[in-house]
Amino acid sequence: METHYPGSLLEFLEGELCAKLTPETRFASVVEDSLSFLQLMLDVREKFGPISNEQLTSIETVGDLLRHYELAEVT
Amino acid sequence: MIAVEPQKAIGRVTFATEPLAKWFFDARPLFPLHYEELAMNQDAIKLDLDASRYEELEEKGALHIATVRDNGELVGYFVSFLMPHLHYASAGTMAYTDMYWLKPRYRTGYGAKLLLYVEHCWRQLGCTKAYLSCKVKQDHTAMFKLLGFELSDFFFVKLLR
Repeated sequence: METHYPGSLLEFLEGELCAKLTPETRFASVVEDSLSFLQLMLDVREKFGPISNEQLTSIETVGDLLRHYELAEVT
Repeated sequence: MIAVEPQKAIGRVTFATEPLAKWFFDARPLFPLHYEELAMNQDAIKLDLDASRYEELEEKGALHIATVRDNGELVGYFVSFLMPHLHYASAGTMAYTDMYWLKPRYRTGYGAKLLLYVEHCWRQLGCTKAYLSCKVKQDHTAMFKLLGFELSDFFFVKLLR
């Protein structure tokens, strides 16, 4: 998997959302609206690699996203 | 003093394709909220969903209903019609947006997820092209463009009586 961002996914998310995050943090509690969520996920996809639209619909927490990319790295 | 019931935390939110009867029953309390928020010309045109015509469309395989549920409670929906375009009959099935709505407190990412889910369904159902719109007073242009939609029409309405 090609990564263009020099830091970790968690660091990237914290920087984008200007918030301290844990794996349990729900995106719905830290994003402003659906547009912000979508923009963030598209930025994540661009910087950290593939995630399908279908998979995005099941991303509820920061941990869900971290797990997706950890699995992607293993495979 | 009015007692305000505390809002319960958002639970497990799921997206699904559901039959008309199930959605319609659960959505009835939401329709007036949807109507009040978005319908135009409310003095002249009252909310009156034609269930029998929706049933006809469902029987013809021309209706798709995507739902958003929070621990089973209906909190949003996206309804579309699937049928060939009259001008391009050989081009396959087109997806036409009928209506969509999400409870305001879920507009923190779940709206985008609903659109992603619906697009996934349209593709799975073999649709050739999708038609999506929004109200001028609730402009989703930026989100639609991010999802790959392009602006193609301006749509005007005029009350005639």
